[in-house]
Amino acid sequence: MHDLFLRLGVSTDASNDDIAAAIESKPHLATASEILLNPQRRAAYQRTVFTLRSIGELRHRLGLDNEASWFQETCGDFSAHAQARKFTAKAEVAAVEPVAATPAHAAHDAATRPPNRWMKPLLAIAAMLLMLLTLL
Amino acid sequence: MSQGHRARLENCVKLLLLWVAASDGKLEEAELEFISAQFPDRSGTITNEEFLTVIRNSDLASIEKAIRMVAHESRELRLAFIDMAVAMTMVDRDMAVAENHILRFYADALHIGVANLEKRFLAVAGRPMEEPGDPSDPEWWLQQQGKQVEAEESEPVHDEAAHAPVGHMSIAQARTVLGVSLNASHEDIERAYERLAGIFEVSRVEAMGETAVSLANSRFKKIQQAYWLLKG
Repeated sequence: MHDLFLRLGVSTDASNDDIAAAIESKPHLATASEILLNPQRRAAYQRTVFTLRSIGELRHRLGLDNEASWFQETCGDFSAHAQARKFTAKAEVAAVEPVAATPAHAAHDAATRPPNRWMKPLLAIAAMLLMLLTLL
Repeated sequence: MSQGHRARLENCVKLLLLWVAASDGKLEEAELEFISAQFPDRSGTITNEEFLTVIRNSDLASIEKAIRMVAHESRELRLAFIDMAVAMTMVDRDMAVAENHILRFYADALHIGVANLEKRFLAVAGRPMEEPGDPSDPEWWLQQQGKQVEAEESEPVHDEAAHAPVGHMSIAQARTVLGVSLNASHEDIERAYERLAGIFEVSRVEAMGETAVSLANSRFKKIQQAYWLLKG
């Protein structure tokens, strides 16, 4: 499932006119009009988007970004990284209140998560290889 | 388990189950009534309205805290929680896409795994768990319309006896509760009843507090009602 709001670069409370204009500027997303310009479909779709964005953020906080059940290929738009990119892009364009534009999870991320979960095993393997080379 | 721990766990379970119930966003009067019936407010505890405010405000820190707490419980209790969460998705005829993703998230976060979630879903709902659909694709909406028409056609809508409410439950609803098809034999109904009665046994969930016990009790009563209706 795609985050059409994210892809169109509009907020979830954007007006129909804004959405129509965004779709016009991105012809490859033309089918989004069948969902976002239909009030019933948009309401239901929007609720799902809110939940998936929350799940994306929670998965990130719990280190569950890469679980197979997350359908990373199809739900990538809702990963915390994709959502963070959106915020960053917005902040760059708008160039206003950079602190407010920083997503909450980015601050949480910096404060609580280790820098990179692959770093430790990679360093261990590199050290072992170095030792082997020294012995040989 | 200390009283304080039990009370905290109960709040966590309640919040997580309410997130499933409220995720489709259609919290209208009937749904709120359902929630009040399943999770009666008790004096001195956090009210449903307060929990729903947490969900409406997307207070992810609270949800994260809750899931972390449940994740520390025994595997048996985590599986019982998953069964409860599956039962919450069965209020509506079809599971919403958001509900499907929440269940998968719970399975991962509680170290149950999706393969086990699918097994639990089959046991509780009596049908396989589908993959979540894609509402960002117009094709999905057409499929939903098709499914709705198909469901309406497959139900014997002209058969008054099939839809006559007996104690607020129709035959069609009873079949959904037991997860049995139109052509289910007496043996199928018997087997479904025994399986579900075991799943919603109070002793499985009492460690999760009053909320879970109340939900299990209410689900068990529904299962019993459906069983007697279909058996008779």
